[in-house]
Amino acid sequence: MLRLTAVSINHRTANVEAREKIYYTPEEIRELSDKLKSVARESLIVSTCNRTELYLVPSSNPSTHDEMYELIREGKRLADGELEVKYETYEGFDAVRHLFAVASGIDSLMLGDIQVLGQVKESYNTGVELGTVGTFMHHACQQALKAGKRAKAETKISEGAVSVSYAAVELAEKIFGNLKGRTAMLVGAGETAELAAKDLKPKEIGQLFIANRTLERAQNLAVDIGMGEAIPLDAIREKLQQCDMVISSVGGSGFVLTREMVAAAMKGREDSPLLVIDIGVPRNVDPAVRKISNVFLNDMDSLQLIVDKNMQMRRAEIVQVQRVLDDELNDFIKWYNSLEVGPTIKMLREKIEKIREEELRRYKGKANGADLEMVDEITRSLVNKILHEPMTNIKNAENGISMVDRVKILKMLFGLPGETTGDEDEEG
Amino acid sequence: MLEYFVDLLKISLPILYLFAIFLYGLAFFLDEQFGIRNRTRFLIVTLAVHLVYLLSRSLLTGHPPTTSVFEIMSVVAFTIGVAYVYIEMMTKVKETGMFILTLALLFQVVSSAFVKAEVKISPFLKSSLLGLHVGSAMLGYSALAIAAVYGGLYLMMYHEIRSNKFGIIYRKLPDLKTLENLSYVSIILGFIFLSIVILVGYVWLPKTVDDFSYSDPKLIITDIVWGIYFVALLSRRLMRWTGRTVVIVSMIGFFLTIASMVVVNVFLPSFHNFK
Repeated sequence: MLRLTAVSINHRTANVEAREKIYYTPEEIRELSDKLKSVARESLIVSTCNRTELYLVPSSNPSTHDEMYELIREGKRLADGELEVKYETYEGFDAVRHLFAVASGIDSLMLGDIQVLGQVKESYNTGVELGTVGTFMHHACQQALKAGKRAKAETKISEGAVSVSYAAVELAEKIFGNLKGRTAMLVGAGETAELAAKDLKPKEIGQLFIANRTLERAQNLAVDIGMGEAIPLDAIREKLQQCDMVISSVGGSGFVLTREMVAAAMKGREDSPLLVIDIGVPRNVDPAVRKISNVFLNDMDSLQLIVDKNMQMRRAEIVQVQRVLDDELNDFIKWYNSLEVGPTIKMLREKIEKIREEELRRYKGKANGADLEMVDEITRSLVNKILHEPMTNIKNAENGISMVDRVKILKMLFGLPGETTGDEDEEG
Repeated sequence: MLEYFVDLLKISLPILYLFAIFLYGLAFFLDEQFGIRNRTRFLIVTLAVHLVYLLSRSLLTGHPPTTSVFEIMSVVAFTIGVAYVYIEMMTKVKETGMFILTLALLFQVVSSAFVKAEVKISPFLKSSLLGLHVGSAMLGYSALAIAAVYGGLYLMMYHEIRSNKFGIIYRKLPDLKTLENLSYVSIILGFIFLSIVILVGYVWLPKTVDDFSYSDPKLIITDIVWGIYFVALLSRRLMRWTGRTVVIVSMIGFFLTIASMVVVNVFLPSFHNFK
């Protein structure tokens, strides 16, 4: 029976405030991991902004879920009553399946989140470094990472923008292809502009103008994001011709971009498209701009439509991802079953019986029938007696060595077939 | 025996192209793994069968399959397929296969329906420059056809974004810049081959054909098509035409090319009619 148990505090069980309280820094993970060594053979702590999870292969006295929750709470030095949240619990292969689901992104708050795979990998590396990840968790984590990579490669669970600011970037990429070297303009220096700028920066855009009524605010934003030239609102007309995309989110009435301004800019752009995204309320851009050839005007509704369609697509992919997870879980179960004591003992008995029979066959012509029968009896009894004690010990779960390791040692000593993880066994 | 074999392939080819399009469609519309895994593989098999068809047809008739407009259509279908596989391998863009191959299918269907087993070959078709002239024409037509399809896809994507629809076209097709580049590169290749066709034709035809005339409708239309592409390429260079203008020109050029290839052959008297 698989003795893995897990407790998960996540976006379904706790609000953002509680999740923030329970988030473990790398240093706190080290401290808790040290404590866990006394109660568990193996352990893994996964802590991100949306979840804190504890996986344990308990030592002889299994920890209850309540005890595990208490360990998490105490690790954060939270007083009684300071954190009252629900938590999810998983046992055995369900816990392994849950780890796979986390790594694949289907358990994330933002469905298909691509960062979580890296976070699981980081948790695993920390566990290896601290010596809390042993043979079992090693295999579970490796299989989880494989499941996560397969989910990303074989399904569309992480495809398409799922935030409005990234939908704007995705739209720009659908028009211009690579955004490297392109010029963008942000009109307004509020939160939306900041989010858009943060999504644009990694795309290596060439130039960024930040136009705002208050120049100082635009300058501050340029400093915050580490790029951009602050310009006053009345300089938009002058710079517009250079821009490939404009994201406008400024307050106030009246259009910041009129049809006449855009038409004039397009004359100098020699057929190059211009993407204008108007996310201001009330609208910042004259809707008639849409009629100008090679101008793409999109607003908040159209970006939200992109996000909704992408989310719909991701949700439709969950079934495919689950198939991948089932595949990987089957592989994991096969590996685990190959480590069961029963089949291994059977393999060992068959191997020794084969050796005994081969030896008897060698003497078949050299001894009479009665002698051979006697030797057959003696060797059979000898083999049983020699194997009795090791077989009893190997079945004994109370000897302080994990079942996985007992089977591994047996297989290694007698050269039995089946997977062994060799040097990777670093049980704490 | 060989005749039956050639007939069998002739009938099979449209079915094979249709199935290849079906696989590309499965992948495009439904993301079916079967289509995703097998589309390119099946297209390559189809092209191999097509090559066998062209070779066995040459063996049967005793001449390359370039002596009638319907034979040429089959070669054009084949070169469109080969060019597409090459583009797919170079760009890794597989979502446009369904559209490009539909064009190949159309050419092959018309060819399979109307091509005759035997044709009388005019002596001038035996000239050594025929291969260069006709071969360039095949490659040129194919490239221009591909340019037009990419142009069409560009316009579909352009309207999808402008009308804020963001449906399957938006999700599946490559970005506008890539579609424009694919169309532009295909135009350049088409233009180069068309130039070779015209050059070889003007050098070779007056010496080979008794009733050669510079006012022949097919020559005039081919010159006009070449001129349109020349102006378009020059304008792109000088006036920096990009995007929609380039693809619209590529589509106009292609429709005129089709006019040169089909309408003139069928409706207008010409020395240039393979008879």
